[in-house]
Amino acid sequence: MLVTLGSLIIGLIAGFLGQRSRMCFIGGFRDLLLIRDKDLLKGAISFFASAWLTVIILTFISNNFTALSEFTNVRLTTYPAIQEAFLSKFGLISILGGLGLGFFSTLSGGCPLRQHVMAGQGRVDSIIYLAGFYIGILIYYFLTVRFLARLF
Amino acid sequence: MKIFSYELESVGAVINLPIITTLGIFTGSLISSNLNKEFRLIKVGNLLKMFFLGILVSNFGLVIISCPTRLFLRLAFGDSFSLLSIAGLLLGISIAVKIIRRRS
Repeated sequence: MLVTLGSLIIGLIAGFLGQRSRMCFIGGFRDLLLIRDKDLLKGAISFFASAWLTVIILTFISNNFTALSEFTNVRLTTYPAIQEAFLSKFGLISILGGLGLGFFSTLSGGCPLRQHVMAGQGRVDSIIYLAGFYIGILIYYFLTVRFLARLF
Repeated sequence: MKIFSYELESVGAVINLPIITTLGIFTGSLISSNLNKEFRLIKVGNLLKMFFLGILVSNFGLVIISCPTRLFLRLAFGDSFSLLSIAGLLLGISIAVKIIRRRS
């Protein structure tokens, strides 16, 4: 119950701030390449910087104060090095999947976060996009994952 | 669930109830646009094209287990696969920008 309620409240805050600031990850890089505007890219950079800072602070707390480590709940896993990841199967999938994600997100006019915010503002095409977005999950589980498991 | 010889396990607590952050983002944007009197029902572009773009973005996002937002969160945790995905993302954006420029 706590997880569901907490995610709803965090989503409400993120939606409120996203509507005010027009934040978009895809839009930041697209504006930089298309019209040389660095305004939206600042949002993406500060998002990454604050996430990094939060991970550092939570790791410091859970390492030094064992009484608080139940609440911080950072379980760091060891990831493979970048050369090793590049040569593996999932690395190839990551590059190709990221390429398709960037290409089709730019054509649709924003990353999924921006599309949710625009659907809340009353854009009809974003609401249709979200309908396709959630039907796509079913298509993934019935078609795409079986196709990929046969391919790799 | 084991695909591509990697154990795909989400980082965090064991989840029994669903996470409804997306519903919260939608509702928060609805509240904010109503408070600032920016709510307007407008229709831009081709609706069928947007439907299929939604299906494609969702499928590509599920293959790399993240949307662009989670990609940056995974990079903050030190995931090396997300760095490769961001390189692919930038390449995809630059290809799409070239297509948009040629069309206009």
